[in-house]
Amino acid sequence: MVLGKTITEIRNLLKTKKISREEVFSFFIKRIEKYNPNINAFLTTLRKPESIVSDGLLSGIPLAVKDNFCTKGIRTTASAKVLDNFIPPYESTTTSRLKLAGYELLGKTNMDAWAHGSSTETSDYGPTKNPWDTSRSPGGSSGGTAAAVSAYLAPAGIGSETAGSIRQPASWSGVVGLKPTYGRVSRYGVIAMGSSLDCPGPITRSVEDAAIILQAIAGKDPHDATSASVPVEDYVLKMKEKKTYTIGIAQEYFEGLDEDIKKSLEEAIKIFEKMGFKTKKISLLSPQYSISVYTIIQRAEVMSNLARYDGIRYGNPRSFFGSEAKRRGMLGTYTLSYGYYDAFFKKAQKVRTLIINDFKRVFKDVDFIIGTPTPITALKLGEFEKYSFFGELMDKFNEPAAMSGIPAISLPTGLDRNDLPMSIHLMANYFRESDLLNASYQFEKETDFMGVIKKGIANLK
Amino acid sequence: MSDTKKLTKEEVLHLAKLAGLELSDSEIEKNSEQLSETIDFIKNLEELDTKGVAPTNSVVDLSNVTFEDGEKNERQLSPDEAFSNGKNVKNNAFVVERII
Repeated sequence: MVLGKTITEIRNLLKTKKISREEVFSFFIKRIEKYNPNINAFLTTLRKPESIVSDGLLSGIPLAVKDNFCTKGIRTTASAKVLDNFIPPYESTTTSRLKLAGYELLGKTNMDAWAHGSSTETSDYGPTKNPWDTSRSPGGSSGGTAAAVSAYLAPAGIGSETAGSIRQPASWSGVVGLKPTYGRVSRYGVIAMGSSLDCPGPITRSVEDAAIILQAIAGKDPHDATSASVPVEDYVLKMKEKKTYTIGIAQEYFEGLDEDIKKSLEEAIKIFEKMGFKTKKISLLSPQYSISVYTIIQRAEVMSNLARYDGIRYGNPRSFFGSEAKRRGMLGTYTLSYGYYDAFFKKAQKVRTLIINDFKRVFKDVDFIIGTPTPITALKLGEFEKYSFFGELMDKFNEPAAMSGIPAISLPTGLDRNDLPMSIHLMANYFRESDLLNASYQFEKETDFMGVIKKGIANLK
Repeated sequence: MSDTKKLTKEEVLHLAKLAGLELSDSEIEKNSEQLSETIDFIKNLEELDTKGVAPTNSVVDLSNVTFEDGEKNERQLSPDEAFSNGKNVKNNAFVVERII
């Protein structure tokens, strides 16, 4: 009865008392027991539903939460052995708000250690495997959540991204991933990677579910000074208004794409046109520059954030850091050190301004910019290790939105020649989440995402 | 393809010292290679003219975020909570190695 159902559909079953919240919870626990030993999406699972909120947006809905969100009394590791036995004494704002909405924490999901990576292979607890093909990566760093949602070990989940860590795994695992505007969702209680970039967001099986979760977690938080006070809209209501938009097509975002992905992106554009959307050719700064800006700024912020893990007050000593964390820390130290600060860090901050201005200019003419979150579909496990910053190169279409802080969404559009999911990617102006969800919802109605999300479960072995 | 001189072992060790990280011999070798590769790549920013461009520290337009007077600090942990993950705690203090 529950298999494949969205949050909205499960809420209806619960409201009409066709099923109890205990039954919903144990349905997912049973699936986790069956499939997780192979997929390794969850690091920790809970035993029973505990929420006392019976009439919230998410009452009775079990969700998968990435293991970098602090959950009071429940082990939180960021998939790093440095925090192997860390039990947070406080709750992240995102999970506090989910609690207020009545959600049930199903478990904490695997990720690249400290969110450093795009494959979930740098996890100190072994890689998560892609449910579509277990010899492949689900993407990352929110790979555990994406794989859990794809394999329906959870109806939906929470990820976080610094640059692409929601959108890329959602794409490789064939589900929906939304990166909100920076500051739309509080970072309080999220184990920090890049403080000027980090952004929590939903990974779901429908656009409506993404809207519901965003509704629950968005808004100003006195515990995060960088959270935005812009009013939160009624995303579900606004999503369903009939609107047409103009989509910008930038050649710079079509370079280096796999042939199948390019074809699927061109087809998606035709579908939007058929739906009555206008398209317009635009030109943007090459995403190549965002790779560099991202690499410099993120590594520098990583180094500042990892400095607190000294093993004195909590956690294990610094000798427990994995090789990726060390590699990032080394570059961050280099670009911040005497003699290099101006050449690298300050230069990157200036180019960041150029990227922001570039988007502001284009958004005067168009509502969205279309592209794809990744130039290729899911890679085999082990491919990433061959290159020192392969993940950054592969995330080049995600990085501009991250550097500028604008919202973006990844939507499934079909399967490639190897039966692996492909996606398109829409970026919007600051705080235009409701328009982004509106266009995505229309696209979903029109295409049902080519059946990708349903096939994900049918495929599972 | 590299036009950057590979970082020397001494340079890598100096960075590791600044970062408070211990590296094995193979990590020193790997870091010197990969750091140089990455530094080579990020130099593409030199192609862009940033004269007179202000640096971006944060993408949100905020300044001087403060607590209201009398606002309750809900973030504050009790001593028990604050020490709950400590391995070596005595008289409400973390025990650290003597440094002088």
